[in-house]
Amino acid sequence: MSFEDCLREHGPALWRVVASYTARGPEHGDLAQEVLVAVWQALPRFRGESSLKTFVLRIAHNRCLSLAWQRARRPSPSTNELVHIPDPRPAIDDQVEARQRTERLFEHVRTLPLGQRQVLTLALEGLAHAEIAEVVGITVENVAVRLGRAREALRRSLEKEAA
Amino acid sequence: MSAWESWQAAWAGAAGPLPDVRSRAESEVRRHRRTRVTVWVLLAGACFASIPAFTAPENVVHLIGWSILGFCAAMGIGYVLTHQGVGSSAVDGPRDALGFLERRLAAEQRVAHLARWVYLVLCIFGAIATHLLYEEHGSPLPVRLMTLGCYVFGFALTLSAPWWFGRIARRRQAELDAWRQWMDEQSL
Repeated sequence: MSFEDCLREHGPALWRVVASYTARGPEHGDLAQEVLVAVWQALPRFRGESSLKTFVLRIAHNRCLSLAWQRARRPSPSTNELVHIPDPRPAIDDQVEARQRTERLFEHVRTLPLGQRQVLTLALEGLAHAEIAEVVGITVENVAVRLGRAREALRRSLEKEAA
Repeated sequence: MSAWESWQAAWAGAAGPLPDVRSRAESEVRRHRRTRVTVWVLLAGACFASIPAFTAPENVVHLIGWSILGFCAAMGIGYVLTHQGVGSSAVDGPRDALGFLERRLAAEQRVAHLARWVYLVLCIFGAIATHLLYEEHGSPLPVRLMTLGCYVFGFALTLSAPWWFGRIARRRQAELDAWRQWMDEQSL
């Protein structure tokens, strides 16, 4: 499969992985570049042992973890902290409201611990537990435990904001 | 609609523009290829440069030729050794990547030892050969001393290679250990 085809099929999923690590901005663009270059370089080595989606998501998460590690070494104003800036404009239609809901979901996902965040985002992408285990490199049981905790943490975080 | 389904719907609807990275990816591949080619061209050039030594009538000059060939062979082996697995797959997890970096660090340390002994042999052979050659041609003392000085300097530099490389490696190992600790803390 060519890089263009891969991007057409899995580009949105890659964008979402990057968005679960960085908020929109220059860092998002840089990380997206890193991820895409890694996918571009790794694609010729794809042997079909797993699905292409699993393959590209694993690469994306590995790249994003490198960024998270760099951030941990050189702490900077972190996007992990929940900084919700309310939009003063009234929601003019359903589309805007849906976009705001999505942005809020991403903000909350970014506050989760990395281990939980990885599992949750992959589950949201529709991957089965076995596939998530393959991507993250943990057991299926561990996936279930982490996913349960991540869902609970996300629910609490969203409820806290709503309250 | 359950909370999970609503999150999934919101999640799946999110998308944004992705940068075009083809030119950057291609330039990176070209850079890697250029580096590899340069190393082999330099080694091939050194081997080629040793050919005149074998055509000289003096046996002692042949010795210099063999020293150069031996040096090129050892450096080539060292290069291959350190670059084994450099193309480590991006598909490997972060812990695999850490393991790979540690293996490479160990390989580089082995190459530092290799360089020390290869240079030592090269310096000894070279010093003996040039000494015999200067004797035969009656070269002036300053030329002899300068040549000897060059050998001693090269020898001192490479004899200490494992020591200064060890200092660099310790820093890199500390960084890898910190990385591993961070991954443990993050339950990765």
